[in-house]
Amino acid sequence: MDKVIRINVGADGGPTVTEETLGKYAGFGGRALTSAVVCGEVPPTCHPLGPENKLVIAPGLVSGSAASTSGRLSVGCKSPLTGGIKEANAGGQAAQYLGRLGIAAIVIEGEHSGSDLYKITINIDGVKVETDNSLAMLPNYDLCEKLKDVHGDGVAVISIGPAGEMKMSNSTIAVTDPEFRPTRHAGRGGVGAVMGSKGVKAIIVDPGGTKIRKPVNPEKFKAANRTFVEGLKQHGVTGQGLPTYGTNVLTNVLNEAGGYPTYNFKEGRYEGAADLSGETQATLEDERGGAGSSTHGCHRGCGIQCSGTFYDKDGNFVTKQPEYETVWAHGGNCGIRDLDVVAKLDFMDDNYGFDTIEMGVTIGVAMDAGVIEFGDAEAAVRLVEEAGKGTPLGRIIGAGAATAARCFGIERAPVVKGQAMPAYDPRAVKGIGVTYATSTQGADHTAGYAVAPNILKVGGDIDPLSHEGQADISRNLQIATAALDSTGFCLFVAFAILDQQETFDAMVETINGMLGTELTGESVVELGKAVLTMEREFNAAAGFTKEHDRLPSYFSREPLKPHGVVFDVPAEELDSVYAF
Amino acid sequence: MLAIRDRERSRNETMKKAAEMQEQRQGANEEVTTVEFRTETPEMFEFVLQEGFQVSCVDNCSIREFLCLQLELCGDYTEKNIQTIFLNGKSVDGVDTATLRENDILALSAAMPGLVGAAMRKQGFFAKMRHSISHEGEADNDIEEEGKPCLVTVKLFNLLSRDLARDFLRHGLRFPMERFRTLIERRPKSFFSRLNEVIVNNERLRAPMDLAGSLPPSPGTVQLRLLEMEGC
Repeated sequence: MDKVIRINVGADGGPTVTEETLGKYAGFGGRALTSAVVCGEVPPTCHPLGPENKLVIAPGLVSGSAASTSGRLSVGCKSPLTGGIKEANAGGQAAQYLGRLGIAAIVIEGEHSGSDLYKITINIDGVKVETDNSLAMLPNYDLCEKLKDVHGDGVAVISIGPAGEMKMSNSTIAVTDPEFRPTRHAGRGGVGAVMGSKGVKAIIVDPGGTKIRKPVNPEKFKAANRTFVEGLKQHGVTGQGLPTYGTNVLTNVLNEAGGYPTYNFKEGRYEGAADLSGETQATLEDERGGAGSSTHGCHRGCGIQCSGTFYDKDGNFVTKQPEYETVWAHGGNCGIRDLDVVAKLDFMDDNYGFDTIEMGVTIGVAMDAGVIEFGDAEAAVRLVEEAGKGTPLGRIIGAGAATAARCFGIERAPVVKGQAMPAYDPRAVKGIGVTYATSTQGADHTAGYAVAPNILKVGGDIDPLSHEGQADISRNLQIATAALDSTGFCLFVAFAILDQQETFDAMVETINGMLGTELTGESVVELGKAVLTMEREFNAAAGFTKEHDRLPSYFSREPLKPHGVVFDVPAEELDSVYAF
Repeated sequence: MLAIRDRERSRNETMKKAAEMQEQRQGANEEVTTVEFRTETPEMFEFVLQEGFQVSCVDNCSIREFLCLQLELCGDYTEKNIQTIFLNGKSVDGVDTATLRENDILALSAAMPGLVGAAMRKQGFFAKMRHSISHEGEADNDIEEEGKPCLVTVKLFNLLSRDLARDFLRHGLRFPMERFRTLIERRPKSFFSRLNEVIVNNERLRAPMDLAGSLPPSPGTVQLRLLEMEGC
């Protein structure tokens, strides 16, 4: 898997396609590869929607193989939302198919002029770029239906909805799941707008005629992969909790902890949380039944199956099982306690191509500003419709929480580097506040995930019960996460590899067996450090300083109910995160 | 060793007495509707267990004593499966040092995903990330009330609500009537079809589907209790 496909949409006479080997990017995959290309080829001061920006799409190092739970697809560019580097990743089928086609990255570059929309088809015979203006402004579901007529449903589609075409700062890139639904999204940072700025509506990845990638060392790979799968199955979180309840299992726990941001981050506990919880959601899905109702994988070969399928009371498909962050963003954060409404909003986000976190937080900002009332579900639906249609108000909503707060004249914009905070209040859980503040990606709960710092010992041993050292732990997690994001493995393997050394070892050996490498825990750490260093340097050259590594000041000023806590990690400690 | 056993026996008896006394005390003060039922799938009452229900307890006992002596949840299960504990909204790291007092709220959960989920785990690697909402853990020195019966609210989340439904429901638990009625009215037919028998205030319902209609319209409390399946 060493092909890089470059598509220049600004070439004379129409888009050109060139194919090259990884060259200097050899050994990189996923986030490491997208960030390396962006750092190496995109001027940091360029406009994100301008001709100098590039969109890089890369499967992980082991995607396309039989390695379990390895179907993540990374998308990188300079972000229209944050102004810094961005890597957003998604599940779905595309990473596996690209891996099987031997494609390490697709780089879309150049200046798109005119209004033509392109459809790119990639198969075993090569790459074809066609103009297809009949796809213009089609929402993702309608687009997939139309493409199915031509390409069947055995392909994967990477696409943008109207939000991306309108180049909104909140716009995603959708990836189809095993049922050929556009439910998986590289959601954060406005990557859809960059795809839109290149005039690309859809990329069809056809794996026809390809086979699963063969490991360099089949015996080693097979044995390690088996141990890895067993580790996932036997762990309480990956083997039971996530398959049974999905990520929304967190609602009750965060709410009980008083760290569940409610009413646009004004309070830490929501009175309607039980109506939105993973327990309630799983029960509802089980009662309504239907294929893949409460347990489902976002791609074939997933060993965890954390997702599900949400049907209405009459058994009609509504959307995939909304994740915790989505249920929180559209539910508790907005004072809406109806899972059917949340599911409808999730579908609309997927269809238009909006990030659910950014959209939910933006609606919360609009509610806080008095544009609509907290708890007004109909008005929330109307706002998403306006955004999807690009009305004047909708353009503000589609620009994200930071812009909406400026337009509506309120201070309380829960963002870092322009990106909305996810579903964990940093005043209650200060460690995650450190990651929100210092991540290269803007406020992002997955930037410093629970990825085996105890095993990797990135920065030496850490005393878990000491109050000191929030920066140390955030640093370690960000390094380990950057490395895992480069492999193609889903972040959710983190829990099994956190608690089970043998599962971590098996994961590393699975990579080694697949690629013929000799990676160790130390080299994984070095990879993570290299990725973060590149990204940090890009952001610095783009104009970011340590003053951007801060939470909004009201988080230090306004105590969060019920515990009355504020974010009080000193600036000096935040500044020490990148001391490696 | 003998002294420890004596103490445990004494505690156990006190726990049983506490439950009886508490029922009498509460029954005298408020309207209590008893709902007894038989089912092979008590975990379907997860919708009640996650919201919090009242159970009797011995004042000032530790969380471990409460779980082990009253509910017989001892040893491995507590250690391995009850990974996330909140006492009055604060994350607990020590089940022996955190003690329960009247009207406390105890929430129990399995291990959780996500970094924040992992941070909430008792004595977890990321515990420092939530230090400002951690339970301090020191025992309450007010021993005057120690050993007296009290009521605490327990919330069971996720896998624990399924695992422990039978244990808690068999002992009996109290839940606000108004909310119970709302939640029962939302249940689908399949819920009632899994109830073998329902008895409301000592009167057997003709059909379990009649449960919602048989509940009094007034506020108060419902006392839920799981009966053994006949023939067991």
